[in-house]
Amino acid sequence: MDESVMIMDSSSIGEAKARGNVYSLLSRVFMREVDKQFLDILKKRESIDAFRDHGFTFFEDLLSRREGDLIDELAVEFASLFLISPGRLLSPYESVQAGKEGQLGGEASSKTLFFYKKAGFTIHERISLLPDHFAIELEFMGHLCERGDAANGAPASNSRELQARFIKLHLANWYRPFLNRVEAAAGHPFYREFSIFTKGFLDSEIGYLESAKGE
Amino acid sequence: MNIKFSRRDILKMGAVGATAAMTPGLLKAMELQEAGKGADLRTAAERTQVVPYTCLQCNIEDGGLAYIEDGRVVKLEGNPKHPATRGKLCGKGAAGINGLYDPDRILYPMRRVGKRGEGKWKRVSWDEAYKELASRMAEVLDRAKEGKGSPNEIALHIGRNRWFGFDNRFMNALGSDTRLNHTSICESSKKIGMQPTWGPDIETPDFANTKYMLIFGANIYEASYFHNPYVQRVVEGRVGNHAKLVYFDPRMSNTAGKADEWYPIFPGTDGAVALAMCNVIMKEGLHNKEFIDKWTNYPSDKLAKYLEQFTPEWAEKISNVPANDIKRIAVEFALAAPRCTTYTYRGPAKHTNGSYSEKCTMMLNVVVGNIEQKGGYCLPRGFGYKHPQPEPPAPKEKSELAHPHEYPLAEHKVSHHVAYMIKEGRQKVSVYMRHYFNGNYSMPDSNTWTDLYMDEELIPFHVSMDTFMGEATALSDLILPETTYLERFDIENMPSSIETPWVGIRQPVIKPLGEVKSYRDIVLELVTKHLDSDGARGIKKYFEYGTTENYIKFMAESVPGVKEAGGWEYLKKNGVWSPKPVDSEPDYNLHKKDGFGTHDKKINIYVEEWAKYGFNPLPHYEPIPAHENMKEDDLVLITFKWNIHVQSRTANQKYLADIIHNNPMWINAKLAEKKGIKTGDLVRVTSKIGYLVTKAFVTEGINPKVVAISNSFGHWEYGRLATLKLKEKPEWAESGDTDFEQVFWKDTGMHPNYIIPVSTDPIGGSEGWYDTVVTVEKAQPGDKYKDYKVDKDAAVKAYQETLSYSYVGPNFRRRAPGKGEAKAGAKKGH
Repeated sequence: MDESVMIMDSSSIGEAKARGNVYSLLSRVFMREVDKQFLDILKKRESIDAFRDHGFTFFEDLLSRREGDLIDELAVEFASLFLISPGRLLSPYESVQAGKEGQLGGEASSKTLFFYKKAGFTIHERISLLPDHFAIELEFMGHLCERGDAANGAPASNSRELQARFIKLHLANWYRPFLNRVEAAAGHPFYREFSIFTKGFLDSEIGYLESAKGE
Repeated sequence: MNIKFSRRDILKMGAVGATAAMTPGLLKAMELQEAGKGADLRTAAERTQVVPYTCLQCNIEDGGLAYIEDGRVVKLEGNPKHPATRGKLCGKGAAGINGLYDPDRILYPMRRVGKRGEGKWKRVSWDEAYKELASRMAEVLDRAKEGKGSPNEIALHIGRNRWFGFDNRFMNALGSDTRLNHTSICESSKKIGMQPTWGPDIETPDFANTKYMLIFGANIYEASYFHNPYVQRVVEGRVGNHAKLVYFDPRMSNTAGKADEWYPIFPGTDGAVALAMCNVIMKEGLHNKEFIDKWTNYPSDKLAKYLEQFTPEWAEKISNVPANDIKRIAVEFALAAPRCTTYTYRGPAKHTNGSYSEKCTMMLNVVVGNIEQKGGYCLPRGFGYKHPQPEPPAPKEKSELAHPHEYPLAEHKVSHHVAYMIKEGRQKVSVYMRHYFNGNYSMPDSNTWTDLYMDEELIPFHVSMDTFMGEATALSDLILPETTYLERFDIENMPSSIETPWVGIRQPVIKPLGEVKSYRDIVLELVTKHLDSDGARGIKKYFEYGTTENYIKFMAESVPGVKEAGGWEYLKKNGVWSPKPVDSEPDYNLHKKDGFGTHDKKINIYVEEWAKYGFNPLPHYEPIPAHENMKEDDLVLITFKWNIHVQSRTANQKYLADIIHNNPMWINAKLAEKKGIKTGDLVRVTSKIGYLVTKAFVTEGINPKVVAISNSFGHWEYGRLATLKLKEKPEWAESGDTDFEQVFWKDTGMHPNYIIPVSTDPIGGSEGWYDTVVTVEKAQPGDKYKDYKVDKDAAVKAYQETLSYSYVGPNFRRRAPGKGEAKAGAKKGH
């Protein structure tokens, strides 16, 4: 059996937490520019080891460059990919990438919000992103995973069903073409490799949640 | 590239994520609520709201209703309570949703980090953006205080200005007179033709009640001023009264197609035709002697004598409109009086003789005395507003850029000269703020503006308040992202309905996207929190009115009757207020109450101020210098506007781009045959400043001495659909973007402004968009579509040449011996 679809074992509670953490990490990558705080996390030994295991190289730049310069360079890259990309379709919104409108604020934005609310979540007033932003969809999955952790007291299977539904109804519609485009457009290995990483992770999540059905 | 993850990998990576997830203060977008509490389980229909607003896709200001589902706009429709537009939106209006939700919008403040124009940006906070702008402004103001500079070094260049004095408040408070605009590339010579003659800068024809419409260069069925409200009334007049429509336009627009008679008049000769008609009317005794003698400053017998020189035969030679038709139409028009009216827009006005031409067409109404009569040519109906107090005084020092000394009568400025004037060193600019104005796309000789914006010595700091990465914004240093018209408070009124004036508002129909702010909020926060937070500069006191909503509310409720109707809350609920309901009967004879808005309350057939500067004070036809010595092969290039696009801002809007997305050059079939040109062929169009290569569209529907290229296209910035750069990179286009896959076209058109030289009306200051003399040939070997080449020296020479026709110039004195500066004795400069 492919490891990516193996059935959860007794460590599943810890795994739910781990999965949630990965969603949180990826959400942070796509939500806004890398800052000092996030850079410090990425530069920790366990982070470097984990990235190195997958053949990623971006951390070498993280370790060797002056922090200020690197943060500036990544900020320019972030802006060019996700904030100002006229002429290139890299807008990190489901409505744009997969909605029939091809515009911001499409049906996906209502539907994701409705999903969040039904699951008991709301978006902070201070957040200026629409509900179907890639980072918010990832963060929501992270919250659902955490809820799946027995420590939160909710039945894990309910949560996993919700996770599977959300991925199927939303993320699965667009993450691959979107991340392919980001991968192609990215100048710095940071966003290129995180796009590859995110694709691989979401692929594995789809397999995992499919296999966990009915538990 | 793809990788596969094992669950072990995920556990390992989860440790990294755990550090991220557990780090206090790390950005999170969501919070957990009490389960289910936030869920709104009503149906979509139940969650729908309808919010009224006023459209601003173009400048007609139609009343609209935004349908909101779950906080997002799903549809825009007309507001039936609006007395001018009566429930109808045009195609552009319906597509406003595209502008709001365009993924190419700029949603965050951005700072340039690479070279100017290199395309490298970094997001900054509003605080950082304000601080930078405030410090740049403070440097100028402090230096000015020490006598080492002037507040005029701070320039504000606004295109579509719907701020009703707010820009004056801002700039006057700074002490800067350098408020620049776009009116000289819009319709300013129409305004200047009218204002000294009768007061207002526009007319309001009573189309619904008229029996005869004589329209010069106003494509009212598609695009001209007040298109939506007026075309409704034109149709009522046509159907209800069997009103005749006679139309003059070199190009066969839809208005020409709907007209009873269409004359493809030679550009810039409307005034000659109108004068000949006036002559015929007076000669035939069909004029209204009583009206002329009572309500104008020129006796009817003298006027008749003066007009005798303008014979229909003379006009035919100039305009190609047959003399017999001129005579017949003049008589028909006069016999229909007072239920007859003219209407004009940019056709007559956008020439070096624009002010004269406008006045001549207006005279047709004066001689038949249909002014302020049922079915006639009426004054505009509108309101003025009061503003929150105190208001800053006008700046002490005049700006040469805002008021070039060569154009003392151009009250609406000559802003298309600004790039050359800055290059000449006429006035220093240290901070250049631009808003709703895409200078290096929209101006004639657009390359000169690109050069200016690229020049960091001439424009050391370029701030853009914009919604999109347009051509000019791409060359800025700091971008302050602005709201669209659906996300902000504004006040509006337009004289677009003869039945009743009205006051409309805009209000945020949804929460603004990203971190965008309205222009009014940007200025308010800049001044009160950064530039003058302690009030020491004396600027803040003019901005202590609370919120922008308060400001707009104050203005709206200053209109008599608004408070009584329910005030601000009424306006928010209905979007519009008018003293009379929709479809009321108009009031006429307004002039009988207070006269006309001139110094003597009369219609000034003789404009004294024009005489003062050496211009002909009477209705006059002035040949266009560029057209005087045209060779046999020479043609006149005109531009035009489609019914579903505006000049600069709509090419990226998908509903609209889907319908029209390019602009081949219209050329007459006979001429094309002679030149061996077929539709789709590449042609080289050459003006005195350069050439461009575009495609031909062969048609019977254009004057054989004229070619036409529409505005709106040929963008090199502005977004995906405006540029279709994505089509050049198939590896991006083929990745499942279903929306973009539906883009069936590859051609985004050619920008004509590259080769249109500056050519300015010495009275009204308008750019002569329709004066450009060109030659057209089949493309040369090696020519590619969209090639162009502009000779910068020739462009400057064209500017200098047009200056020579200003009242202080040698060519003006040559054409009008003894006139001009010497006689006027006017002071140079301000």
